[in-house]
Amino acid sequence: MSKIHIFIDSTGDLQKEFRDEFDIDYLPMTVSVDDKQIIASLDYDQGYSLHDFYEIMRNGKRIYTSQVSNPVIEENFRKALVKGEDILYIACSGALSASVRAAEVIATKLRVEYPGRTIICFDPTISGYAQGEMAIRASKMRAEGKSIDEIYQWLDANKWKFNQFGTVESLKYLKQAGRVSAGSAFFGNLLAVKPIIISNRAGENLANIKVKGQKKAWSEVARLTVEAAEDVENKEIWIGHADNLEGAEFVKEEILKLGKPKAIHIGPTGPIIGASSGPGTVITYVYGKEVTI
Amino acid sequence: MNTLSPASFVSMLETGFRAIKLDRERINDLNVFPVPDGDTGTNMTATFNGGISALKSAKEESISSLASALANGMLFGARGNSGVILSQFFSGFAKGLEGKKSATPADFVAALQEGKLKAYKAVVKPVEGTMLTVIREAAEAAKDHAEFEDFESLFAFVVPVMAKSLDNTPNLLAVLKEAGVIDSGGAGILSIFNGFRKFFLGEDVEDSVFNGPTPAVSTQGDIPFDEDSVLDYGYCTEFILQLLKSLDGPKNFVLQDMIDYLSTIGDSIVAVQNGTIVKVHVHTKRPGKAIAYAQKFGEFVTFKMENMSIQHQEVLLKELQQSGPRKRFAIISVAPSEAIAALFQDMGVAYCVNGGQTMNPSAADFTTAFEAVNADHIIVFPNNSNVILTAEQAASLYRDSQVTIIHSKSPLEAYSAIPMVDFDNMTLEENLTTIQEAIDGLTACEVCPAVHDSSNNGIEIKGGDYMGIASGKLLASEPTMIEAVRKMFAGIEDIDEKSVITVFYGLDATDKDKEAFRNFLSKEYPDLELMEIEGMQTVYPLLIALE
Repeated sequence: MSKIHIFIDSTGDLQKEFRDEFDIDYLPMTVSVDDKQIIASLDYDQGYSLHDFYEIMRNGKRIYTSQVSNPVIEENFRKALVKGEDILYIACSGALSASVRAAEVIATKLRVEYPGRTIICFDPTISGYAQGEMAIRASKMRAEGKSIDEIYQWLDANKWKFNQFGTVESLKYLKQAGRVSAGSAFFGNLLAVKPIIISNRAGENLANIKVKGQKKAWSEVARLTVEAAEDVENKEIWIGHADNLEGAEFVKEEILKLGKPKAIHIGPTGPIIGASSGPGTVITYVYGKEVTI
Repeated sequence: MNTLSPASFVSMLETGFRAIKLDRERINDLNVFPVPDGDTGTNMTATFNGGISALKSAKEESISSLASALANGMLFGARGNSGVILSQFFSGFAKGLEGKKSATPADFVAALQEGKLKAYKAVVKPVEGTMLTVIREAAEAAKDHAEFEDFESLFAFVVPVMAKSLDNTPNLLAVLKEAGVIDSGGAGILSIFNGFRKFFLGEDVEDSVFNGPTPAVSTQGDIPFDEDSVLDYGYCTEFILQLLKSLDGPKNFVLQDMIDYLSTIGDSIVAVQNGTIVKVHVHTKRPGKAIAYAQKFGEFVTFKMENMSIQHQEVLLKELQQSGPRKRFAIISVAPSEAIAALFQDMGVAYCVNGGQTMNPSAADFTTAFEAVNADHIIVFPNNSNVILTAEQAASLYRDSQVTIIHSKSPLEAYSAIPMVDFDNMTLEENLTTIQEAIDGLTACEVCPAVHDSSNNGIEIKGGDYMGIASGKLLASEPTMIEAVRKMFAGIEDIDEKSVITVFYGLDATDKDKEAFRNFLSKEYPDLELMEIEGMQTVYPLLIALE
């Protein structure tokens, strides 16, 4: 059986330590900062630290994001194929980025060139650390000797069990980026109201829960996360943040008041999700209850 | 005091002005008609303000010149019928003091007669049971009384006569009796004279802020007067005419002739003349005739004309999506300022009814709003307990929509509840429950200066104190704004459960006040998240939502 090469992309949120530990590769997207195109690095090592990056946004500059470019996809896929590896690309939610569709077009071409290889471009209908945890689970299954098809079957059957609960400082960025849908009342001036943003089955961000006050919103995120985990003792919870460690720690403490997860990982949200959701964003991800919306 | 010097005369007038300034809200409350143009207290205060301002540039050499300057200032500053009558009274009064350097009580009594005569002449059909009666009875009683030794005894006599006359107005005018009030214009003149009395007694009258009438009636945009309308009320036409030698006036102009002519084309006529200046108010369906008549004698200094059908029905700041396709849901909110109306509309309110402090909207304003939003279900947020009944009445009169009136007593309830509404995903009942939950979780606080001494909830209120009112209950009355907030917050039992505080800064909140408020919060309530909004509302320097 061929080796399976697992890719995520710049919305998969796993930093180098996780990628190294689980042998996960990633296809970088790009962002334009100060009129420069730079790699949307999950490690914030392209001349902008985590803080620098969001400080640019806090100062009112807009950061534009781009999907994974075709040459990057093709080059990375070829490298794997040349080595005789199969490819499992766990992409950013197709509702938020066209990367998965671009990859599928390229895969169609490459499947002809490499008829013996399997290339799967998977739309997980969610992004962030959920996408990352899927890659970790895929990696573990790979280590258990599961086939690429078996792994894909599992992912596809369980993708809606990955939950997201996000709070943003302002809906401004998501609206600007066109990456949230909600009732019309949400788009107004909400001030004290902090919406909680979930990922629905279509893979869209949906702001459908409203809470008054930032801390109350974080507490509610913690409650929803533990509730969605079902058996929280056996679950790992991911907390991503866009330069808001304080907020992430607050959510962690709130979670610990409600239960003892197997692990809680706090880490930065990647530059793509961060640029779309804005500085201050805190997002939890947990595998558990199936999303029904 | 038995001789009134020019300086004392000015002080007397200023004391009278302070008195009506303090009283104007109470006088506003005496309105018989629930239409927003009936703010007698505000109109009379604004009118008097015009006279007082004119005094400032007048030479203090004689009572005669001061009285004349006062009268002139009031004539130009007059607002509403009560203001015009007031200005005309003082115009006659000034005539009575003509040539006087200073005045004795007897001069004053004589001037009152002139004032009375001119006030009566100002109105085409004098109605008893109004301020005219109060003026007349006081002037006549003073004339019949033995000569007064000093001004103290003159006012000790005149003010109670006026008060008695005022109390009797409901017996003379059925509309007052029906409404259960005394005449507001009479209350205004009594207030002024009472201020004069206090001046002679050496009592101080508290000064207060007068923001002037709120220019909030909008006749712009879509109005309830369209191609199917009929002109019911005519035009409220007001102008100040300068008689010109180059034309037919001042030589040939006869005020009574003009009044007689105007009577043939309209009613509610008030016409006064002061030298070569003529001020005219008339309700007519043919304003062109009034203009043509006036222009034979002079040209206009100012000219104002409003369609009264619109004046009567329309009190709104802005309209969003009027008509358009019928919607399932719409929210209507009463907003006390344009800034708050803009915020509400930003939050998804379909229509804001103007509800400035002196502008309680009428039921017709609401039915106009109901029509404009064109929705199956309408949720209305009043901004004042005075507005709830009006809105409910409007709802009972309106057949085309299901209307729910939220019992909101400040704009804060609307601010708190509206963002929680979700018409896309929830039923009407669920939304109403959500609204109620938001309101239940809200403590609405109002901070405003007291305009006079009072007592409430066991708390003594001094005029000028800041009152802290939480959920309609007075919790504090303190000399400073921050002290009032501190004491009020201390009295809110569940304040520790609150997490967000939103403050609407009023027009009277200074940068210093805002800074002090922020400092107070960060020191004493550091866990509250602060949201600040420039509400630009009048009356309340701070409106605070604790959630």
